[in-house]
Amino acid sequence: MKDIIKLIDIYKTYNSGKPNEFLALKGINMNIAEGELVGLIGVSGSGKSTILHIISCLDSYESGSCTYNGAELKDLTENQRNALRNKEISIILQDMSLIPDDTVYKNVRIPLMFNKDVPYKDVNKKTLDAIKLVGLNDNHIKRKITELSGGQKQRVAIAKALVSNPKVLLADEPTASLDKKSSNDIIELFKKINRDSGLTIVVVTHDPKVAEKCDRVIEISDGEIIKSNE
Amino acid sequence: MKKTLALIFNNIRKNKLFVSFSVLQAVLCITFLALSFNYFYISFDRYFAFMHTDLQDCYQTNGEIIDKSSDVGETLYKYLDTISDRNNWMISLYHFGNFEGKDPVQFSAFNKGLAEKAYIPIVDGSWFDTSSDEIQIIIPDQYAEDKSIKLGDYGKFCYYNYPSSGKKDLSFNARVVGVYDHSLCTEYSGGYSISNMYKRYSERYGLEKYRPLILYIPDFEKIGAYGYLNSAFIEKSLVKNGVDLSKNKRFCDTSTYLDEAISKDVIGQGSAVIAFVLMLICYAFAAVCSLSIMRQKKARHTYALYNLSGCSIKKCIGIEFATQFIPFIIGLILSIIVFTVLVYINIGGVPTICFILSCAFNIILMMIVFLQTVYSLSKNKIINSVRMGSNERYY
Repeated sequence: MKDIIKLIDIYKTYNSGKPNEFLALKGINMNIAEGELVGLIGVSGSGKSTILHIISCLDSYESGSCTYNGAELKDLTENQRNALRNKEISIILQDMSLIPDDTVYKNVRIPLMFNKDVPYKDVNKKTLDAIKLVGLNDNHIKRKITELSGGQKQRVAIAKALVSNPKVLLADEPTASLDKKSSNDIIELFKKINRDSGLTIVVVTHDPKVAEKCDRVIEISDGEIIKSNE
Repeated sequence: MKKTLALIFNNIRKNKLFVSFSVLQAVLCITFLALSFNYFYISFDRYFAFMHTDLQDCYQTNGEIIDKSSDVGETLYKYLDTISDRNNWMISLYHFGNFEGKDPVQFSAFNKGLAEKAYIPIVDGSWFDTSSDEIQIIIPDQYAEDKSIKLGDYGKFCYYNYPSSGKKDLSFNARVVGVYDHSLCTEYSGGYSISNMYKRYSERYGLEKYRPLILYIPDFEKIGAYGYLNSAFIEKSLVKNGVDLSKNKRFCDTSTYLDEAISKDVIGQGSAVIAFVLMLICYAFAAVCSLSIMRQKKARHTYALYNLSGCSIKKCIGIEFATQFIPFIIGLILSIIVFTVLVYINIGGVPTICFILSCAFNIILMMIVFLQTVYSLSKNKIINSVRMGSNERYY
């Protein structure tokens, strides 16, 4: 399989030059192949989320190379980064990245509202398709996020991430706030989407049980990769 | 564009309180300005009335002889035509005097008083022949006696102007059709002169015999509401001086107009203050809704998510600005409607000035909002907001 994401010797420092300077990543080398379901595991503060932020162009890095489909992310303009997040790489953050006082429908359609390739008349159908894809039904469409359970919220977040049909899905602790059953459901949903559509998925977790369901697990500790299992 | 508008209106819908207060404050702003300017303008006019030479302002002919076909002549004739009942009036043919060849200075005291919108009563049960081609005037009896002017004399009169006004005297040919008791016009004190005169006339001749009618001067109508109300001030001054208007048929006839005018005057002053207070309250609420930390956090969270989904920071600022700007626009549109109504019911004093000032005021508010928006949604804050994720509590 072709590598879609490559990280070579990535270093990242927070609060550089300040007393609270912190070296988050220490020469990370990582390849993620197209269609892979990868689990990034590690304790809190190990640098997992930082890797996701760098891949999704939310954060920069001091040295090394991070490429998506051969394009160096550091060299992209702001507009190109925005376009990349809009069409190619979707990210689900720890807080699920939803607007609580908006409905499920309005949350899910957000990426499409900034996608110039999707005409306004198609937004409705694509939004409803995405909502159905994650297992939510018509009853949920007009409900506000605050009225949903944790598992349902996560499904909405996944629908929002999938609505613009990206190539890569990055999920930061998608099961952290869920009970065991909901966690299993979400991971199964990731596996199903990965299997059915060939979407590349990177899941950050600190839960070994979640990680072991991925095709490959990369363990990170203190900003370094300490183990990578097939 | 449709997508962006959909997002903007979605954001507006979610900020109902802010929208309501923004719209309200914009409407109240212009209402306040309209009412207060109207009141201010009236007050100004009252205190500086002597500076106005209404007929001249509207119909100056630079000293030319006027006839019926001229603008001034036509206006005067039209004015006279408005008098349907020729008996027992008070009529506002002030500023006239200076029979041909006579010294106009003799009329200075007379003019000074009358220039303050006093009205001259006809004491001889006089008349105007509105079917005549001539301009007909009445003059003080003392002056007629001094200058040997008799009823029916025809000659050149001068509408005397104050030298300080820088305007030329207005001359016209007229026939003397009446005289009035000059002794009753010697004491003038601003708007109260008319009441003094009327009181004396009442004492001397009795209300039943002389039932004065204060005419609504058409010249004033051209200027706007202030003339309308100014007449009301004079009438009010009559009441203050003990004249019982209700006993007089003529005044009863004009009572509707009088009551309306007085109520508008009171409403104008009261409403201006109320509108101003309400405007400040609404603006304070709008500002609180817009600038509150809670809303800032919610907005930042929303735009962080937009940015996460591929929306540029510039566009985020644009959407937020439009979200806050559109309520002002709605408010301004409503303001125009409100103001049109105010003008229609003749309460607006200086529409253009009010509107410009209101717009300027709202533009200043929008600039504040814009700067706040740019500051709030500056790149670092948005990115931080995204990076912090669940660590930052937005709600």
